[in-house]
Amino acid sequence: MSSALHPAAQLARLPGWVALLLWTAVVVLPLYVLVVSCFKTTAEIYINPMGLPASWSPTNFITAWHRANLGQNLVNSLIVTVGAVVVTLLVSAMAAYPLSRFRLRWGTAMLGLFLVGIMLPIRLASVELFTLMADLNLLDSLFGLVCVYVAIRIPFAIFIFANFMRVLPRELEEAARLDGANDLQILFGIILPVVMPAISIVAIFTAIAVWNDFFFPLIFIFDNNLKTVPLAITSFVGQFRTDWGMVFAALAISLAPVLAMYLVLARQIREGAGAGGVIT
Amino acid sequence: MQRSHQLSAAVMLAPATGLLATFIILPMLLTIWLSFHSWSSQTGFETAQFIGLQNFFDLASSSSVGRDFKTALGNTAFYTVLSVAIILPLSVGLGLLVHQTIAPGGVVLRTILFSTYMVPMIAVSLVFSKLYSPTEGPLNQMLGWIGVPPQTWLSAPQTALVSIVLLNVWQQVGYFTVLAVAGLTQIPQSLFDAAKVDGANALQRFTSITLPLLGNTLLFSAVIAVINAVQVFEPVALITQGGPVNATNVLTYHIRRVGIERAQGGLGSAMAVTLMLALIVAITALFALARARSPRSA
Repeated sequence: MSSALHPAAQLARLPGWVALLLWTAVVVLPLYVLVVSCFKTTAEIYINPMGLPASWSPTNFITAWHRANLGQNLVNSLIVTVGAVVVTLLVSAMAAYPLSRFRLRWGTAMLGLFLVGIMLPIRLASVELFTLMADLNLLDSLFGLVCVYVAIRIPFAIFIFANFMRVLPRELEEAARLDGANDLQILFGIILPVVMPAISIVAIFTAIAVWNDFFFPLIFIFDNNLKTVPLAITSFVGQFRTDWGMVFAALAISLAPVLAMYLVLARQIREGAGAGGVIT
Repeated sequence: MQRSHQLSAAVMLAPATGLLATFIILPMLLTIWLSFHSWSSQTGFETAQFIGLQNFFDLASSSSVGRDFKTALGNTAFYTVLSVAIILPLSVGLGLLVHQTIAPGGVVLRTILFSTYMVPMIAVSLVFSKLYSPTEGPLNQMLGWIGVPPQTWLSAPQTALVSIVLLNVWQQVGYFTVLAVAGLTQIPQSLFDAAKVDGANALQRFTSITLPLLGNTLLFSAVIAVINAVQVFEPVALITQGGPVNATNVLTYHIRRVGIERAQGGLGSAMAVTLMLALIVAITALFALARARSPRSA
């Protein structure tokens, strides 16, 4: 399309391209440093932070895997992430359906209440949440982590689901209702299959947020065998002598699945983020 | 029929409502309640002693408790305002540029731009702590190439908090650029064409069409950016521990220090409540500003 433009118009776009490329360089530099640091010794990271590593040996990855018990941490992160995604999808779809498609007198107020939930800064109440979790016997528990993550993600998920469900035609569920199907059957059999984009948006963004989170495991998890990947990695920082090569290798391991998913689903993820931002 | 509808709606809403109430709303309400109490966070809620507004008086006082709190509140405010003031214009600017690039390179650029959203804050913090190294750090080396003297970054109180803002900007701009692009695609091209016919230049088209019609997107972005910014924790906990000399001691970090390490739960709650009040004022102001500017709301 741009090749059809007049050369002068092409030239007018040059500053824009330069600005974009500059920002791209800003984005790429830290990622580059992260990647090359995975293959360096701590001394090399300090002496030669920008250059290519002396050798591309996987030593740091092997150390990270063995010393940091990263396998167990990956399993923990996976359990928490999958658990949070599945439960968030279930409870949010169930809540969004009546709020967006039933004629309820209190429906709008209730939806508004959930939307306000997006704005609650729960980290400010972390001391109270900790004591509450202790009372509920949910400290040092992956289940407890899942509960908190689901509660945090519910407002956003309901918002997305409600946006997608609201615009579906009314005829969609009427036939099934005449056949005597109940609301749950209609939700899972008829509504959810046609809002697959909403399901993938909620699943992807919940997964990223939960997989990457450091704050809540830091508060709730003390048992080494229950630590998630981000918490495990940070416990190797700030010790007497931090093995930075290993820390960066571990960070790369934790980043790999998210980045792989991103490269496959880049378009959907970007459009999903956009869908979350466009209030209609 | 109508009654059973209400009943099944209530049943379907129960799990989400229960989870939100238990793990978000209840702790927030407990925070408000405890802010009027003396409470050691090493004991249960039942040990709290009502002391009225004493916690708030302590925070307002010129004692060391009050001074540290005001520094932390000021740091959080500075961090929030500067983050939003950089992120919003930058994301709209990048959004405009990305939106206009239809060339194949545009897709690659979008993919790279948004990729920072995938990088966990702990990785961003640790990588930047290396980039910021004072003497021979990569950033100072690069500044040297263009003749700029080395900066102190995280090692001096004057620059530490700004350095943390910059790493936050790096991570967040991609996300907000995507929001801006989504908003821009909603603006009908015909409006721009009509304005062009009327002789409006690029700047006039931006201020009279793009900016007003981007209002909802900007409001949403501003609110989310503020909520994210006031909860900053990872870079402070991982690389500065609030230093040097309290320059990066933001409130989420300070509340945990006071509430957990010194076990003064009530005092920490009062700090959280003060910040929440400030947040309510800020967000109400943002909504009022958006409503006053919006061409569609009558």
